[in-house]
Amino acid sequence: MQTYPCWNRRLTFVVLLVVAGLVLTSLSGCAGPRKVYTTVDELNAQGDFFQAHSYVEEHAKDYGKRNRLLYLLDRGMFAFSIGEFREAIASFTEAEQLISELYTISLSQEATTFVVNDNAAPYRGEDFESVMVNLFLALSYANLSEIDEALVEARKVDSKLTAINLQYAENEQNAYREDPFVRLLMGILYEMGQTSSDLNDAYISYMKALQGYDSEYQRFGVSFPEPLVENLFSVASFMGRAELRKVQQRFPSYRFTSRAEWKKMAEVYVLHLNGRTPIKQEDVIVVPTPDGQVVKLAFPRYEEIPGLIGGARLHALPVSGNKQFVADFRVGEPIGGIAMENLENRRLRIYAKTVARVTAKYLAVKEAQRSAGDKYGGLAGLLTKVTGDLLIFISEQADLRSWRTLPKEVLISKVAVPPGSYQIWAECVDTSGRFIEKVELGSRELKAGDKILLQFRTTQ
Amino acid sequence: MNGSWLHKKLVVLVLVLLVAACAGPSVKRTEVDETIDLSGKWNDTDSRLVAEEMILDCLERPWLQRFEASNRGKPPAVIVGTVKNRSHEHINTQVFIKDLERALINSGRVAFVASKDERVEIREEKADQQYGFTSRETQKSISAEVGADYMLQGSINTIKDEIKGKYVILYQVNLELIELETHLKKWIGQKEIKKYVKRSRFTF
Repeated sequence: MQTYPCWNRRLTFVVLLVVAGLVLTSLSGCAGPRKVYTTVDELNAQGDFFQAHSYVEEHAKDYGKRNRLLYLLDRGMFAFSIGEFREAIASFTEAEQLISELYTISLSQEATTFVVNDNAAPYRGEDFESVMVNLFLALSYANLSEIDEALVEARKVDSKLTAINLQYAENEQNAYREDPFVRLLMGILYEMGQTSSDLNDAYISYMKALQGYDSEYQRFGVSFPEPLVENLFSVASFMGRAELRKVQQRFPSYRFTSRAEWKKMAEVYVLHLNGRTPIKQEDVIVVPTPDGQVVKLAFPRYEEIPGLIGGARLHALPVSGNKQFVADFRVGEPIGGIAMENLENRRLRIYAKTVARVTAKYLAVKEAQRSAGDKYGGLAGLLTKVTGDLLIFISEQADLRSWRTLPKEVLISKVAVPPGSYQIWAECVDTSGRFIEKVELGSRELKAGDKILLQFRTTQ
Repeated sequence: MNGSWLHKKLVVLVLVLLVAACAGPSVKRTEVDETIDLSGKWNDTDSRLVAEEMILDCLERPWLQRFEASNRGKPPAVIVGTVKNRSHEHINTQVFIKDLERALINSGRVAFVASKDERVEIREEKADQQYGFTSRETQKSISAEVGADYMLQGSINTIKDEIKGKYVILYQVNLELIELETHLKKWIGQKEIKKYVKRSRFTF
C-alpha cells in the first residue's frame, strides 16, 4: 500500500525533471527562428531580397533542426525573388519532399508538444503553404522556359488539391479546399504546352478556377480576374460547341476574341507579388487557479502588416510605335486572408490543447510541491513550487511559426499585343490611386502566339 | 570485483554507442538490374523494363516483316524522336530514350540512325575532315547519311489517385512508330505500371 504514494512522488519528480529538460531544449529551438526573423523581416520589408537571401543562407543553422522547412521556404522565396530560379527549384523541391516526410508524425515528438509547447514538434507547413510550394516551383520552371517541367508541377497541384478537397465534407465551409488562382495559373501553363491534350487540361483548370472564384473566394471578396474569362472563352472555342455554350451561358454578354485572333497576338502575363503576409503574434491570457495562483496561457493570432501599395497597372509600349497597351492588375490570390482563416479554423483545437497542457503542468507542480514538502520540509516544497511555476511560465509559448516571407496577395494582369519589340513596366499605386513606384520589367521581342509569364515583387 | 566488472561493461557499452554514432552511411553494391524501390517514383528499373518489353513487342509485329519483304531483306532504319513527359513527376526522358535505343540496336533487326543532336556533332567532324588535314582515303563523305524510314515517338503519362499519406499511380507509356515517307502509324505500343505508395502516419 505504501509503495504507491512513493512511486507517485518519484513519478511526479521525474515528470518535473523531464519537463525542465524539454523546456530548455524547446527554448533553444524557439530562439533560433525568432532571432533570424528580426533581420529577415527587416530586409524583406526594405525589399532588399539579395541581402535577405544571403542572410538566410548564412543563418541556415539558426533556424534549428525542427524548422528546416521554414529555412527551405524562405531560401526558395528569396532565391525566386532575385531570379535565381535553379536555386529556388532546389529549395522548393527539398521543401516538398520534407513536407511529405513530415506527414509521418513522430509520437515521441508529438508527446513533447503536450508536455512543453507546440514548438517542440517540427514545422510541417499548412495545406495552402504546401500548394504554394508547387506554385513557385511551376513559376520557377516557367521562368527558365522549361514548360514541360512547369506542367509537371501543374499536374501535382491538381492531384494535391483533389487530396486536400477530400479531407472536407461536401458542405464544410471556410476551409482551404480549392485554389482558383493556382488553377488559373496552371491553365495558362497548360496552354503554353500547345498540344490538344494540354488545351483540354487548360479548359478543365480554367473551369475549376471559375467555380472556385464563384464559390470559395467570395468570402475573401475576390472575384475572377479578367484574364480568366478571356482564356476560358479562347480554350472553350477550341474544345467545341458544347464547351463554348457552357461558358457563354455563364457570361452571356461577353464579347470574346476568337482563338484565331489570339494566335495573331502575343500574350504577356504579369504577376504582382504584393506586400507581406500577416505574421503570428502571441496572445497571453493569465488565468487564476482555484488555490489563488495564476497560470499563463499563450495562443497565436495573426497580425496584418499594412502595406503602402494597393494596386498596379501594366504597360507595354512598342519600341517602334506609340500605341501603348495598358491593363490593370486584379487580386487573384489573397494569401493573407487564406492564412488568417486557416488559423481561425484551428483556433478551438489550439485552445483545447493549450488548456489541457497547462492544467496537466499545474497539477504536476502541485503534486511535486506536496511530495517535496512531505519529504524535505516546507521550504523544499515552496522551492519546488516556485521552480515549477517558473517552468510553466517559460515553457508556455505559442507556436508562431509560418511561412512569413510569402506575399500578402498575388495580383495578375495580362496584355495581348501584336508581334514586335516592347518595353514593359508596371506602375504601382496606393489605395487612393496615387503613384508610388515604377517597376521596369525589361524589353521583350514577342512573336505571334507567344505567351510569356513575368513577375515582380513589392513589400512596401 | 563486481564494481570493476560493471565498470568494464559500461566502458564497452559507451564504446559501442560511440562507434554507432560515428558510423558513416552504409554502402552496398548492387546489380544494375536489381529492383530497388525507395520513393515509389519512376526509376531506372521501370525505364529499362518498359523499354525492353515495348521494343520486343514492336519488333514482333507485322510491319517489320513487311518492310523486309519489300526491301529484299534490308533492315529498316529507325530513329527515336521525342518522348514527352506528361506525368506527375520530373522524369528524365533521355534515360528512357537511351534504353529504347539500346533495346533497338541490341535486337539486331533494325538499323539505327543517330539522333538530331548527335548528327550535328558528327556533321561538324565530317566538315572538319574536308579542310585537307585528313588523308583522302580516310575522309568520310558528307552526303552518305542513311535517312530514317521510321521514327519512334511517345509519351509517359500518369493517372494519380491521391489522398493524404497514400496514392495509387498508373504510369502509361505510349510509343508510336511512324513511317517518315507516308506519316502512317505502323505500330502503337502501350505499357502500364501501377504502384501503390503509402506513408505511415505515426512512428516512434
